[in-house]
Amino acid sequence: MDHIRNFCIIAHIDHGKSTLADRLLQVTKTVTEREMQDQVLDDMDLERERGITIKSKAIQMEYTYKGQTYILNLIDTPGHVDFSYEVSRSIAACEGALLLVDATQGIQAQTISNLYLALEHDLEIIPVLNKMDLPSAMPEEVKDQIVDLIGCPRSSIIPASGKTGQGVEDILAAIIERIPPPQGDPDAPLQALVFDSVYNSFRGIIAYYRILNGRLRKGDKVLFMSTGKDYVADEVGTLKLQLQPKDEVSAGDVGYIVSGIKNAREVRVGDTITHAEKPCDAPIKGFENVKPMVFAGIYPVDTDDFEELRASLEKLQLNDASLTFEPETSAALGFGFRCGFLGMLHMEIVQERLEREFNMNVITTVPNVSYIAYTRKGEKITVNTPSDMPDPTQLDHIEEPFIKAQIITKPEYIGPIMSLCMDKRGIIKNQSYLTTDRVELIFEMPLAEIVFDFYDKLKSISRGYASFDYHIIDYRESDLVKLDILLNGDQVDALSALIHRSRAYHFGRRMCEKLKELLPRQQFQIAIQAAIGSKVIARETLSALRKDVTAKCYGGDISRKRKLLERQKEGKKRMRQIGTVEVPQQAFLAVLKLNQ
Amino acid sequence: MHGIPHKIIHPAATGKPLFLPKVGLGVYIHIPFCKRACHYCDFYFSTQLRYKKELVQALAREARLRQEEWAGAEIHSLYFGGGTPSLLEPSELADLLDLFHRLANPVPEVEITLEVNPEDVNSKNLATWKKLGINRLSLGLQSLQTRILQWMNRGHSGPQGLEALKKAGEAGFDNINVDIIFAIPGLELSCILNDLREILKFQPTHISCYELTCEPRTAYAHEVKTGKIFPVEEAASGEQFLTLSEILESAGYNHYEISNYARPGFEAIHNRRYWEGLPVLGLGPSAVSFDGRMRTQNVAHNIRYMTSLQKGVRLCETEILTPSALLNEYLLTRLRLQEGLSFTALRQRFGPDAEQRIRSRAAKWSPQVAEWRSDGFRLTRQGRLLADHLAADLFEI
Repeated sequence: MDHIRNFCIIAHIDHGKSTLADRLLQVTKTVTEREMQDQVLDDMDLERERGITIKSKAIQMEYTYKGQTYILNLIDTPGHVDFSYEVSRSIAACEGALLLVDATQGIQAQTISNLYLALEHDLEIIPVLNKMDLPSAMPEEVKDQIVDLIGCPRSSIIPASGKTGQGVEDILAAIIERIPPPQGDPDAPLQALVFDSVYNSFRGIIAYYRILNGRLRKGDKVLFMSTGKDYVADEVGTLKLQLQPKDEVSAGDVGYIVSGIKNAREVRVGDTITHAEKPCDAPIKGFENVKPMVFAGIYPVDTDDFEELRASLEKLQLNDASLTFEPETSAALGFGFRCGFLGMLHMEIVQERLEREFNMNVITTVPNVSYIAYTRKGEKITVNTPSDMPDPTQLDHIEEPFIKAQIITKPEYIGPIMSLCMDKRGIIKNQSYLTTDRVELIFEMPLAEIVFDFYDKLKSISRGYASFDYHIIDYRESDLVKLDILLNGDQVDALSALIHRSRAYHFGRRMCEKLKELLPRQQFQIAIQAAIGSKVIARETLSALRKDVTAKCYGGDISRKRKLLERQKEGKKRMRQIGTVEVPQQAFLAVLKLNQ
Repeated sequence: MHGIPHKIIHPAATGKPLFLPKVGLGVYIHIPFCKRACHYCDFYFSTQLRYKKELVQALAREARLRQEEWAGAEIHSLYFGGGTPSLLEPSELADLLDLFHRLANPVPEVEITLEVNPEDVNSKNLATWKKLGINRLSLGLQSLQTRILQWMNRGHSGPQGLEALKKAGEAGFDNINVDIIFAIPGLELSCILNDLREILKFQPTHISCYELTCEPRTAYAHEVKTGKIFPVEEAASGEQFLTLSEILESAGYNHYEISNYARPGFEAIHNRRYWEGLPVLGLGPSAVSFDGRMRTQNVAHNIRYMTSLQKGVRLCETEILTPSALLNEYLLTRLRLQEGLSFTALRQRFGPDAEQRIRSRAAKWSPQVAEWRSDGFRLTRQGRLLADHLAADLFEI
């Protein structure tokens, strides 16, 4: 065990984590030059394109240092707030962390929140200043920030560049010298922390774990403590670039288990694996059942594709246990699914994966968060879609999730960020200077307010110099109303939204205006209304189409006009009929475009 | 005829034409020069008149190169369009007509139209055109309001336009078209009607009433885009369209196509070919040819047009119409014509299934837009305002 080091890398998105990881793999000869593709650890297309690591992975490296061979387990962590629980479990599996900071950008909000997580778990922090090769690097300034933040000696910060390979050997040395070897008793009852799982279409779910105590042998009967289900360990081993089967994995090490599990939901991140016959006393602390917080309807563009969409979502769920879905019907969109996501990025990723990996054309409706409604009779109802909302006469009160939002920015942007957050019903809780030009702002605000356009706005008002992280804290009572959209008196269920009463009027008016832009004119007038219950709060009128352009039509005009009309007709085929009104797909996304 | 940019330019395939002798052929010659650019026009033209002579030679080259395509056919019409064909010197026009008569086989009553700008109309030119065999003039009056003509960047004034119309009649032209434009920002309906009254005094045989449209890459489009000018609202332009139609019909003109009116017996033989899907051979830069199945458009660039023809190559873009494209164009153009759509004709051309489908789609229309007969329907005056919309409704995709 003295020759094992388990570590992860804490970094803000784009600070070069994956590139540095690639370098480590290269220098330790874990991958050959031939196998080397940029960002080896991110193997989904989407990840490589977006440059973010969505699912965490682990990899084992061997490195000879001062004549001794060490096993270094790198546990890769996702870098986005939507996946912060997964990050916390990866951290719990390590003894040390590389704190990677972009020398051109300095410390960002996510770095800090993940750093706090690491400190909570008593991880040894090795600060690394990345992207030193860039001319815009400001190493001295960023070093000041790091020293201020973790109180480490200035000399312990390693300058590096994932791109050029600078500092990589120093980092490997520091991992071995500074990170303590794992503790644990190989002879105690088995206690292994699941920090990730992947789906393999031939082998089922492959769970990744870190053994705290005991040994896991091939053929053992194991118990997953949170689900209470037991399985036979068909294969165990360690994680190189490919799986490396072994007879035994023991305390301190990181490994995988294949046990014929078919459904990702049975393998939960944070769960404890133990022996069925001789279980450990208690599961490892920190397990949480992650609940989706953002919900949206996903509908096939072509109503005939409903079953295919179901099959695609099921397949997606096999390796994305945090995705939930259940069938839902909409008068406007037909049959589809109400899907639950960890956050907005997760939603976008699911939508894109459906389109790319499964070739599905989908319409995603207005996202909302999960509310809790209390009826007069004292019933507690979870509201994941506007139509779940109880009748106003039955409703006692409703609660919505609140988050603690942490924003790190430069002092000159405090003003605009404050007003943005206040505008989003945020309450400022704290403001502190991390360094002279880095301010941390803590807000409490409703999750619902960051669902739409918060990131974009934050980015634009701070010219990109603001980073953001959040955690759900609690549910609080809130004055929410269901806002309906009506077209010529027919309610469009897919456009209903739950919204705070103070924002309903503004939101309703904007929706009507946007729909007026997006709906094609038809042979009759269309009234676009926003209503709360039976009270109309906004209205726009789309006048009837009385006339086309009666232009000349000779030689080449004919084919141009035909093509134009053919395109229009083609677009019309994909429209949805609401009462007498034909509604194009993009209108269903109107709410997402309110700011464009 | 349009100057749309050409993405795929390739030498035209040569082969036997599909023109049937029975339906004959119309010939269009595009003269791609103007002295100045009208602010609304997107036809292809150049204001560089230097190489006009060479271009006329290139036209002759193209005519000879494509001789096979028109040699056997009876020519029903010849149309000089542009640009500004009245910029041609008498000798240049004479050369082209001479070539036409040598190569082609026109029917005795062949319609030969020359588009002319009022500023080019004088007794000398009129006499020349008459002598050369031009039997129809199309006069680009557009408006009689000088301020409007100036805004359009036309080269003539209101009185000059009227004078040209008068002189043309005096010179013995008995088939004259007058172009007028409506839906012009700042031009009241009453003004248009006044203009019309003045024009009707001269009893032109044909009137084309064009709605001003905002075509991309024109000065007008730029003014609209930058908010300098607001296009006429559709309620107003619709009213202008309807009023013009009522007045001209009561004055004895048939509103035989959405943008065209004619006294009985004077419908444009050449332009009708486009609406009936009949073959037309187009010569000159940007000119469009159609043989009933294949449409080609010459390169819309004078220099490229000329240099390629010097090498004996005709650059054009080709589109072979699919059966549904043919049907859609048929519907599109038929609905624009006064006689409307005949179910018998539709069945004969496209089969009973297509006929049934189209019949049932049209059956859902309001009686306000279409007038039904035993063997088909036609659009009402109101319906014509929605011609594109209604045609698209019938389209097969």
